[in-house]
Amino acid sequence: MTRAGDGDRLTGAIAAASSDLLAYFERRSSNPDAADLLAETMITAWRRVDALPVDDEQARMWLFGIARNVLLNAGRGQRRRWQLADRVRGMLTADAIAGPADEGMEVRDAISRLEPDLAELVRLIHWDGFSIVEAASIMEIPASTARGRYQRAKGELRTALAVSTES
Amino acid sequence: MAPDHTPEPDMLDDLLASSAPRTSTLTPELEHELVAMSVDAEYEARPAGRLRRMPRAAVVGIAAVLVLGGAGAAAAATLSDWAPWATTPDASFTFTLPSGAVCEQRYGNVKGTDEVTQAIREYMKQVDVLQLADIDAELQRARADENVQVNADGSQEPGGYGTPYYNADSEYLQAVMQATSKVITTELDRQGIDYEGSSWEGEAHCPGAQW
Repeated sequence: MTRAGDGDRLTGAIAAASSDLLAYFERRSSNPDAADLLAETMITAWRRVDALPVDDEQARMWLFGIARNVLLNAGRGQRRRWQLADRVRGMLTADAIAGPADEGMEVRDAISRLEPDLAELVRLIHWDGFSIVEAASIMEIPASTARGRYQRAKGELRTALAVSTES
Repeated sequence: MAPDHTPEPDMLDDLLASSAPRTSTLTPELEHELVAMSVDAEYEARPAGRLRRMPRAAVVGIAAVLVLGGAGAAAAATLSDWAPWATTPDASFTFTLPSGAVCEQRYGNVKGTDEVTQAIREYMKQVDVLQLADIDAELQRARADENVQVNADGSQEPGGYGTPYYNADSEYLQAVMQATSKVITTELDRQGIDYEGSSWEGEAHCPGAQW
């Protein structure tokens, strides 16, 4: 059953997180796809509005959890080009032309060679700015597990990139 | 927010942070479109109330919920298979899907102001909503949408109508839900009734449908 005010709260939660969600998808997919993935995330959130957490920060984590599942599900199967994403899609395509394509590619390649869960943990923390606890919440794993995986991931990246621990 | 992983950042942290792919500049225009997308998403999320083709200024809080009675559940459909509100619906009708399966569609559980609920209930009882619904137009609109099939290897190809991934029964049911819903909102508009925040529900049982 939908609780009173859920719709207004979800409107607010989406408004606060939509640009960060868009960036989340842009960092992990092509720009045109990012708009559709964001649209699907918003639609899914509205369909599950009954499950929206009351706490604002939890609501934000909930939205990113949906975004992660949308991204995982988008790997195969039917993907819709949402009409409601048309205008945003066009704006992102134009912006993507700028910037060197190989900037940071070596590091991104090293991240992508990690186990998928380790790689996503690194992306959430270093690309999206989440804390380990927040990243753990999005990935639906215990924070202690995330800490262990994160240390492992950094160790593997340090070796792969031949980076010392010096500041 | 700062990662809570290491006491002091090191060179690797800097490398990882600077490797983030570029993202679009958040312009006022893009911010505006993100808000509009959220509004449209709310209505897209409501199967029978897909009012996204209405002017955005006219978007209001009409909801309808589609419950698909799948082949297994609907084959033995009894009264208890319907949602409680659907046992005493305000309107019901039947129609045939492309596969030949017959659907029973029920509308009810109208919520909102007295003016809105009375208007919707009276209208549903007075007219044959299905008869007035322009299902062909909704089918054409649905087919005008682009669908993409993403394969296991990441390759993409056309999906939807005219492709192996097309599902005629599903498309037709969506078209019926949307077209009949539109009949009701059109009547409310004609009567000049403000139906913001109102809702109704629809439930369809389609034994033998090929979803």
